[in-house]
Amino acid sequence: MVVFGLNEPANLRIMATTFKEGDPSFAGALGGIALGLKSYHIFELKSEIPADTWKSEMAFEELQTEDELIEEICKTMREVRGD
Amino acid sequence: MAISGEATGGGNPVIRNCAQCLVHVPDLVPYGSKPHREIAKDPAVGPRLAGALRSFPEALAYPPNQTFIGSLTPAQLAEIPRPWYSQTGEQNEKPAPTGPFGEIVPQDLFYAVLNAANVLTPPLIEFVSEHREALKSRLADHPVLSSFADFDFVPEPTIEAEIAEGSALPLWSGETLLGGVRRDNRAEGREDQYLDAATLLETLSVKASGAIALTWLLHREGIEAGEIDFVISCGEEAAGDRYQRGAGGMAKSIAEMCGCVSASGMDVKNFCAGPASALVTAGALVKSGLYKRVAVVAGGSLAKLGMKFQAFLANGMPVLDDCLGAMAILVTPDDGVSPVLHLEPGTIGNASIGASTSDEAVYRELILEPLKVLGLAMADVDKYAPELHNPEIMEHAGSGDVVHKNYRLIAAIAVLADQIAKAEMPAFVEKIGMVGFAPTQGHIPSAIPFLGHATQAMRNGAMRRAMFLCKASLFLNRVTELYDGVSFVVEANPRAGS
Amino acid sequence: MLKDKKVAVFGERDDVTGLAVRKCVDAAGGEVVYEATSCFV
Repeated sequence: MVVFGLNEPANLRIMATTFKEGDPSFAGALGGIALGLKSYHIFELKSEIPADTWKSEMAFEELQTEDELIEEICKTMREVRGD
Repeated sequence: MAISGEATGGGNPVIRNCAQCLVHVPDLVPYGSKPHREIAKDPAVGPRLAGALRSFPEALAYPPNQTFIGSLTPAQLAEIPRPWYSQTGEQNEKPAPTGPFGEIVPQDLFYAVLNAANVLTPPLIEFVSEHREALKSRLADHPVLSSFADFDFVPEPTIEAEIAEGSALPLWSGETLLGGVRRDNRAEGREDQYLDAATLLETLSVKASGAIALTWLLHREGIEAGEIDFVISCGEEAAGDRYQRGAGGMAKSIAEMCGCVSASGMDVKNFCAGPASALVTAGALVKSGLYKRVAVVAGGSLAKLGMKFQAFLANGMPVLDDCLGAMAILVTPDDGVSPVLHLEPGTIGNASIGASTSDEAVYRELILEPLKVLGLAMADVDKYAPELHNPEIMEHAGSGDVVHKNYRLIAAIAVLADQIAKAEMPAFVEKIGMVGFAPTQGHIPSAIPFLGHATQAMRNGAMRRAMFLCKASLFLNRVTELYDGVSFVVEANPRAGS
Repeated sequence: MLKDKKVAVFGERDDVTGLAVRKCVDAAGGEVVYEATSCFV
């Protein structure tokens, strides 16, 4: 599986789609080759991470990122996975 | 105004003056790292890129560029509607090429300065017979840079033939071939992979652009070159040969070109935080009493030209990363007037290696610790200057507004320090922030472009304090996972007006 | 969900770094087999 730390929904969509289905532009080496890898953004995995690690590594990152952007990121990742 | 007496150790030094220049070099964009690689993969990219390059009037009228040289403040830039690149200078009065902090230099003038920067025989750079006198006389007529026009041409230029056979890099002005750059073909350099034409063009560009900024600094300060006693260069180039690939020597090369006969110097390297580290070092040298007039110089990065060109082509925009940035800062003992660089123990923000285990720990060290030593709350700083990348470039490149992200980071620290509430973050960002305006060029946009604006505002009594916050991606050297940060506080001189 | 999984990490210097993500994945019992942090500036 893939875990992302980048916060641009458009880039996330392209990269996550590529890892799942192959290059959506069919331009690169992965064009048409489906790796079937699931991608997540770290913000989605809060419940999986021990609380003290989350607090020291991610609390600051969460605070920096606008709530609306966090929502958009999570929505994008769910859409690509087809959850 | 004279600097007080002999250099005395002890008190904080001042930011006495600065120069901020841009060099518009559209025909060097194909030699940027990203364009060069993409054109090599697909030659059809070359003409498409050429079709999206800006003219000098367009680059001159571009509001972020006008902000870099001080003709607009960041606040004034924020008022101008986007897209900024629609301001082509046709509708309004054409802006002047010079501003309070320096100049936007056109390409032909820069080619002449590149020629002046050459010291080797045979020369690394050569212009064709037809155009070279015009290039030189344009430089000789320049009110600030004319001292560089004191160079000779080779009697019989051979550069055109070398370009035709592919052994030299052409220097174009649109469709006109003006000259070229060759590798070091002498016995010592002939087989050295690090002395190819592209690398040497990069090094020469650092020297030439740095020399332009340093000359502007001398001009603004109204002093002779001989009055500088130490120069520090802080760009990200690697100047040297195969045995000493990044050994440097750029500070003295630039200072020599500008006639700083009394100066010694050295290069300081710290990725994007190079200028901040250099400034702190310069301040410490002055504060210790070792030197009286230290110049920090940063030449531009040729490698980063056109880095985001694909995004511009995809969006039908002109190529906006077509300028080299160049800056020079003068640090002296306290003159009772100029803004002060705080160098009391603990007032420089560092990212200690131990703290670098978490982002939060790093930024607490960088921002909160120095302010604590100064007895200040975050809101006591009028403006924070982080990396100031032009959002028009970064957003189209898919990175979002990096400046805004940096301000969210600063505001997040204020929340974690219980100085503001989470709901107050947007208002805090509005108060202490500004819009970005600098080219995406590593060490160039890293906080320092605000120095001209901040020191001007402090002299006018319009600002009290600014914190400059620089990040450095050390991990790009592939032998660490660390990134670095350096912060410093500049404050209006408490004795000013007394 | 992360325990014993092999994970590729893509971080971004101005968002969440690969290092921060890796520490989270490690703490959750995952195994990071690839890590990169991009710096777009």
